[in-house]
Amino acid sequence: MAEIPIKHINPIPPKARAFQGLRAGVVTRTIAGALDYALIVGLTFGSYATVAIFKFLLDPRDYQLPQWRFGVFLILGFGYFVVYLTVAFATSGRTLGGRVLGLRVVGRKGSRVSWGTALLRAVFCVAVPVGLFWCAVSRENRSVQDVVLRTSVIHDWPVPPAPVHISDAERRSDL
Amino acid sequence: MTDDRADGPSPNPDARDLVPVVHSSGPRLPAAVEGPLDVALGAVVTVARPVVAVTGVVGRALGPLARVGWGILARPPLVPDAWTPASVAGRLADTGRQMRFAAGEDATVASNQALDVVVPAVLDPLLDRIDLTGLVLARVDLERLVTAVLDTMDLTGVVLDRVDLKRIVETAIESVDLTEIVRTQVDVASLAEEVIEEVNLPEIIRESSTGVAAEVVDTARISAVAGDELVNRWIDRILQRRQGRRTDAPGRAQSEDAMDAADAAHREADPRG
Repeated sequence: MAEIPIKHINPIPPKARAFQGLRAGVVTRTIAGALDYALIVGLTFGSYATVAIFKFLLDPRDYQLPQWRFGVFLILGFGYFVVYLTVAFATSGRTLGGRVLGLRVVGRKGSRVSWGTALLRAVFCVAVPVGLFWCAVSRENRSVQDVVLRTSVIHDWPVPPAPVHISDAERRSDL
Repeated sequence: MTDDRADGPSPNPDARDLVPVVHSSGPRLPAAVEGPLDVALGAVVTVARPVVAVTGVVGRALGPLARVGWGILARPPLVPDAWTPASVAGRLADTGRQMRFAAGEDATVASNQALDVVVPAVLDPLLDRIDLTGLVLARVDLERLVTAVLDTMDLTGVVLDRVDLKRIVETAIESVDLTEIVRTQVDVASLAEEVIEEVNLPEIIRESSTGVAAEVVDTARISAVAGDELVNRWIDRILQRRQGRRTDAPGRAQSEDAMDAADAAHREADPRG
């Protein structure tokens, strides 16, 4: 049998091939959303920590922890989340959680969503996160955001880049 | 030079001069003898040449007649054969030949004995006076000689037969510190780096580690999908749906394109499959 190049080995495990391209269910999307949520929470508290450190460096003698109200955290987190989701939806269609769980957001024709749609969907997701759970009830696995904006979240596992062929001396010498 | 040494003793008796083996000119006679001798030789040669020429002519003319006359004298008619001069001369020749052979054997024995005595007595002082090593170095093409000898010899075979190689190697290994030699003479760091680069160890480690991580992620994804199906079944059962869900989405997933490309590559590589 002729040698099959490594880059053409099927990158998707056999068990996962059947549901590639289908809309994802509530469990997968909730885990992905939780990962994104954790990221934004970390980013928000990281911002607070950064401000606290800079404040200490500027005035170490009379240092006090910055007193932020809870609303500031909410507004900051909301802003981070909207920007993060907008960029993710409009570029690759994958948030960090979506990349880990193998999900991708697509438009009504299966193509990438526009920046406007991405912004609307991001605001909608952050403002009404519970709308996600409608996909458990929907016969088409659509959340409220998907129904309103006519988008879909599908199983689309990221394909790893072609691995370096170990025996390929020329490419190895370039490493 | 021999004349010089014969004129008087050497200033240092212990330091004997070595004689050259080849004389550059012949031995010379005293001048008082040399002149008359040359005159006498010239006179003899002048007289002898015509005499030899005349003798040769006469001999060639009278040769057949002399052979007929000698035949009659050697075996005269009417004389018994045993008493003819030829028979008598033949018997005398046989007796003389036997005596000559006997004397020759004796002479051979005597000469061998004489050589046993004479040769060492002559050769040893002679060799003492000759710089034989210098002579060989000056006159002998040693390179050619050695090459010819080596060409005729199986030197490897001689070494294998005559030399205890195992003993030599063991002795050599015992006498040297191989570890120290490797440390001082070998660039171990470069060698190790070259070996690591050759086997591409970082790439192997990276691939193995990413392989483990990817397997964990794949398992988590498939478990989440199983959770999706479980929840969907329960919801559908609660809602009493009889038809399954329609989860087909428009367009194609990027992973589906990758799978199609892999299948096409497989078919191209193995058309039977």
